Amino acid sequence: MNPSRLRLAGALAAVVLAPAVVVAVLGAGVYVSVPAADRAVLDRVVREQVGFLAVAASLVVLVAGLLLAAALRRYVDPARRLAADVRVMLDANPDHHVTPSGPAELRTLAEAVNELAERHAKARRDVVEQVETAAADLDRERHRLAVLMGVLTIAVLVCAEDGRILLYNTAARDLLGEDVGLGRSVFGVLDRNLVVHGLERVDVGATPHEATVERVGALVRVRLARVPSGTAGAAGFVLVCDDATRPEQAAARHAELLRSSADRVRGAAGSIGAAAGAVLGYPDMPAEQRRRFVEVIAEEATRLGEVTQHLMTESPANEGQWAVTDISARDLCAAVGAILRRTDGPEIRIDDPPGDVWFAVESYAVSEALATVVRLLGERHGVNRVLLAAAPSGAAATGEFGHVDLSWAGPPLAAGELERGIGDATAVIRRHGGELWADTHHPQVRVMLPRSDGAPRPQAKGMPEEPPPALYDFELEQFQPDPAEWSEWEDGPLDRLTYTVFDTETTGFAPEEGDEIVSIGAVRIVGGRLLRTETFERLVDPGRSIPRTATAVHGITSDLVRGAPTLDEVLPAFAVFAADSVLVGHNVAFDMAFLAATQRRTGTKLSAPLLDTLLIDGALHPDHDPHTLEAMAERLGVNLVGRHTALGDALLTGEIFLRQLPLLAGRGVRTLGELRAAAAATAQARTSARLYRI
Amino acid sequence: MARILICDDEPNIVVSLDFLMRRQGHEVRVVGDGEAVLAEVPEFDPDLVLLDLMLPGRDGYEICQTLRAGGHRMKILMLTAKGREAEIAKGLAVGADDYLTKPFGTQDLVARVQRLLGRGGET
Repeated sequence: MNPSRLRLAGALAAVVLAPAVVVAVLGAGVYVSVPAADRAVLDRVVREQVGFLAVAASLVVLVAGLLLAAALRRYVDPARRLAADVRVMLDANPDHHVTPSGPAELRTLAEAVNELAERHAKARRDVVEQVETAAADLDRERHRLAVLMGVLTIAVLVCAEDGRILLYNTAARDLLGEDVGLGRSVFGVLDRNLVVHGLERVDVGATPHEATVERVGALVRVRLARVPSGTAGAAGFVLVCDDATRPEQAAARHAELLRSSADRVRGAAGSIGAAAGAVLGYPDMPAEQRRRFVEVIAEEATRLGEVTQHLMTESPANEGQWAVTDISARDLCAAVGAILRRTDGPEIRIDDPPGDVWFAVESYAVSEALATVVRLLGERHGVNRVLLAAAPSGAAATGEFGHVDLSWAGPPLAAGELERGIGDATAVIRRHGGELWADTHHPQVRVMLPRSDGAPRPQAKGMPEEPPPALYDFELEQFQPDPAEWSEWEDGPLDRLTYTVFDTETTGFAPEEGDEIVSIGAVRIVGGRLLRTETFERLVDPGRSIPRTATAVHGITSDLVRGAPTLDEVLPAFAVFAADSVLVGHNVAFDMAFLAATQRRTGTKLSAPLLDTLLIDGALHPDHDPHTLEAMAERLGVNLVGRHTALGDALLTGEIFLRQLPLLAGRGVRTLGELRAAAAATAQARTSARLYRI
Repeated sequence: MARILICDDEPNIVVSLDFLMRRQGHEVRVVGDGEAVLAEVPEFDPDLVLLDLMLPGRDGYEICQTLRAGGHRMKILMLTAKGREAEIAKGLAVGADDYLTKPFGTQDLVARVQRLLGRGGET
């Protein structure tokens, strides 16, 4: 019986006994106040009737008690249930409702409570809805931002105040290398002092700050700006970088080309002039001598021809003067159609072949030129429908040109009619290296244009889908692990830590007998997402032959790794890739056994915490066997693609690990420390320790 | 021996073309622009025209096309200064039989003319 029930019972007892006490006190009062003679009579009456009085008193108490208990059941118990229901609403389930019961007063109260709860729930739903709408808006904004970043050809990095990268685009990775990654420090790719100095300059008002730094042989121009912080203090900064070398290199190449060509032309002209002067000035020279001079003139003429050829093919003026882009014939023809509709020109129909041709042209100028041709046909010959068709010229696979044919029903154009009728359009086509001409026998005009060498190829089967144009995770800003002290990571929540999932391929199973690593692959997990674009993959020269049995597994041959870096070179690079993260592997003790000697020799320290998906599986499903990647992948619904390459297995292990996390959470394992303890307690951990002596 | 019409507006190259063709034993006439070609052809009736593409007024392509449109079947050997792929494709499309890119070797010119005239092997 709980204290409140005890109190209630006490109160009940008091209520029942109180009238008895009052009767007793009143009786005593009457007894004392009556004269002595009457008292004797009373004594006698009481003594004679004592049984009856006792029964009567008991009955009164009993009846009063029963009545009270009934009243309590009717009023107090429903009130207590009401209180408990309200508590459920407050603490656990806001949609819970009170069932009205008991007397009318309590029913009214219960109904009022329900109404209050409904209003509260509605208000809460409204808030959730608003939050969701706002979140969706924010998501859309972020996606728009990501796409925008992706199409920019300059590198963009958004960093938190401490330098961790919150967003980068593909151009950033192309320019600054693989060390650009979400959650990584920007100071790994750009000098910290430069950035700090730049931020100081920005803070005193020199916005945006610009600097040029050298990075692996290239000059990178960096512009730096602060992200406005609002109320929460500094909110980080944005870096925009581009390659300062490329335009300068092009200009320098151009200048050098002109200079060397001028020298060669001057030299040849000098030789020709001197030889011709000698022949003309001395008509009496011996035939043998004259022949020698004429040979000189012929040789120098050949040289002049070569110089001009060289100038034409190498001149950077051939590129970049106008905005040459890749465009499909389909889109080019559609653009022609759009121009004609706008200017009320003849209608065109596009013959759409299944295989499209891509051109490298300045799309607007060329479509304008094509439209000019169509308009000429309309104006001169009343043609109102033109068919456009495109195809590669010459060998479809290797030819550098393609053509667009314009044909119509009606008479063909006469010689020279096209060229005289379209003015500058010819020049536009020619400056692309193309030509256009009319067939004088058939109603057709052919326009030859350079094909794009970057025409998109169909993607190989089984390839991962195109990576997103830009990667961002602004949530990272709120999560700031301090990797300085690994012990602090013990309390790190598993779903927020950064992981490097890795795998190795080897020459065999026995590192102590001379087997070595031939390949390392790794991928990072940041903010609970497998970053497929942030991978590490290296072939390693094992310094020994690769047995056929091993090649049969991973397909790596001795020829393939010849000239590849050794593990002494690859391991430090891998350590940089894996820095500030928890290492995860499948049967990771096996991989670590291969890395142990090299770690000692090169002084490379891999991050301390290690997780093993095999041991995690052992902890989650002690009764399942085997704990192989295949079996686990099947159990967890992970696709088996790209098995038996180091990177493929690392990706697979990463996916498995991500699916293990919620299962672990379901068992109350939420921190790194808890997980390590759980994994260490498995039977597999003991086997593994014995096998690999870790 | 064949009749050869040379059309080029650069006198310095005409000196060599004229000399080489005469030394091969051909009857040669020289004109300096496209209109003159069209005027000369009916009377001279050449077996082969050495036709430069870059001519003042009507260019070599147009002359070529006009000759073919007029039903003339003589051989036409184009001379181009640039030798771009698209130029050559256009030249052959408008009716030329072969082309030579400047600068060219004299032996090459002679060999091509002989081949077009159906006298391959002779020199």
